Amino acid sequence: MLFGKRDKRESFEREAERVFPSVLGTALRLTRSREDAEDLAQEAIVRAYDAYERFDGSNFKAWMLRIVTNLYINRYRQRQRGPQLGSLEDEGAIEPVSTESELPDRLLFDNAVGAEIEEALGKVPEDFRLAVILSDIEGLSYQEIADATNVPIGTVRSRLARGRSILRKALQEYAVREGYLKKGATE
Amino acid sequence: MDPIEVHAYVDGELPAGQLAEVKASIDSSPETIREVEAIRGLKTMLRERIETPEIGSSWKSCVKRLDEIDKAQKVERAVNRWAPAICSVLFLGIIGAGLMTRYTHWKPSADSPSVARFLGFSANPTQSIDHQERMLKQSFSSTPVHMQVRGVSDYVIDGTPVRRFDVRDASGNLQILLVHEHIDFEGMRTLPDHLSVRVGIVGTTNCAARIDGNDTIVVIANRSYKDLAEVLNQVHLN
Repeated sequence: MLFGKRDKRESFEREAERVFPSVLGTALRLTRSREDAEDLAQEAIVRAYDAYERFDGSNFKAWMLRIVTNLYINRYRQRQRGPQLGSLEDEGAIEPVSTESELPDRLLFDNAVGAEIEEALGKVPEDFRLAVILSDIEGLSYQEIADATNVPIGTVRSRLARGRSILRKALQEYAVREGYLKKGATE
Repeated sequence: MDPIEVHAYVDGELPAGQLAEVKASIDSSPETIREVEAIRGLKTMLRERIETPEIGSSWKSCVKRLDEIDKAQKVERAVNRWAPAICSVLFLGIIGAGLMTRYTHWKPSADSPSVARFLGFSANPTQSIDHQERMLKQSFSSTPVHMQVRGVSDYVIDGTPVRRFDVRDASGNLQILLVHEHIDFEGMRTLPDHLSVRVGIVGTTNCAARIDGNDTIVVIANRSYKDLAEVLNQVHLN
């Protein structure tokens, strides 16, 4: 995209402010730490501003979430987690084991309504969680998720299916109680 | 049925060619229909119950950071734009300061024809070193320490006896002329801290001269006037 310097700043700020809740929300759901999430979101905004002239003008939100995700994968995840989740791709190795620190999600999200969901989401293994966040919370297409996470679409499809399956088990009672699932609608 | 395809169906991500086939499979299986409803329920729950976080101060911090970046880029652009000019001014300043220093402290003198006329003879390198050093001691009561004689020659110019020493000290080669008359210091000037010394140029080489008794001692070398004057002040006639 071609901008004058003032236009660039104005245009970027307008777009970035619109999608910033998604950027920060995704960062929070990935890092599970308010401080890290704010750092990550801010760093993503700076990177995006720097690269804004190269943005193709299609889907700004998907582009921003791609930057956040890549930054997280390249920097924060290695720092926070050490070994990666690659082995969890293997069938049978996937168990909803929480590897996250047990943070009170009410404090993390200022969100009493969705706290139970956030907590369950936090226990979904990271790569699957990322697929669920980008698809079901942020509304990205499979292709956009594949671009954001640097994996083939087939991997996105399987991660999404596994992530939802884990989340459904964890939220079964809640979802039935709240009327989102029918009783007995198990896998 | 492959559960991954069911998820793709719910997400509207099935290729067009596969859609009819998968839809038919789903419609024919009550269990798969329940699965589709469960996935839709989960998606709806996530959409409706997940709230966006409060961005408040986080966004303000981002805007502040963008302001800083803009400011830094502005400075960078200004520096890039003016760098050649700044460098040129600095370069000219350095050259100017150098010239000023030279002009202030080492103001070039005109040629010193009166000194030049006593040059023109090479010191004799064939004499033994002992003989040369004897001649040096015979002529001077003191010379700079670590001075080595490399050649001595005696000659007469227009009836004036001249002894020329080619010597070497820690800073390199130099010539010392001992002229048995008071040289006319035409074209030479004095130095602020060495009032008895006159300095000038012989050809392209600096020289410093001083009257000592009936003689004139001249030191010639490619050195600053100040260095030559300091050497000259250490040389005294017997």
